[in-house]
Amino acid sequence: MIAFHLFSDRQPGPALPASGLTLDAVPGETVEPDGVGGFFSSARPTDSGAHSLRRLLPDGGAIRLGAAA
Amino acid sequence: MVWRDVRPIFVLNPTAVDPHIMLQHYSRTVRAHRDSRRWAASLGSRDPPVHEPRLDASFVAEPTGGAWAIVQRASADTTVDPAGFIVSALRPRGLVASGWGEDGIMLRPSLRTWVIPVRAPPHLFADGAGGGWAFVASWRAAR
Repeated sequence: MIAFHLFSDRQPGPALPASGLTLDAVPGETVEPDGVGGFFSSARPTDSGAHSLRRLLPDGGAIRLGAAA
Repeated sequence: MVWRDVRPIFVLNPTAVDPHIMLQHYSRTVRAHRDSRRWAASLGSRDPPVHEPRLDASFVAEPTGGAWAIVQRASADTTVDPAGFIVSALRPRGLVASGWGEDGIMLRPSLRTWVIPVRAPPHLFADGAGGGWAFVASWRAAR
């Protein structure tokens, strides 16, 4: 998935590359901004009915739970 | 009101038809607003008909007024012109916002990255500060 941010004057947001920010999310996931520079990515329920929700960093990478600080 | 319109590319010598997306604003009394175009606006292209089909469009309200539109554009020949997505900002009465031109902005990912509109719909969100986010599915070209 690629994110683009456009200002009202049609200029691209400076925090993202003009060619868009590649996110750690695959087609079929729904991505939306989290309001503080990062993103949320949610996937459709699996056959077992499980939903998944992930938080993506402002650089597009996924937050890895349990990773060493 | 939004609709898909299909008409020949070359009126005098029609060889193909390509769909494009038309937008017309109506008031609560179902009259075309006097400030909007009499024959509606073509989204994502200056003048219909266009050579690359416009497949579909989706919208999200802009909290400060108006809306954002993202148009899915196919390509008859991706070696000449890639498929992709076009974003436009719309004023409350349905016209393209000042400064956005009538073609809108074609989102251009980096080289070796493809966006294929027919395989996954895009998503738009207002950012709450007058701007907008667009999220599109992409595939990396094989190395």
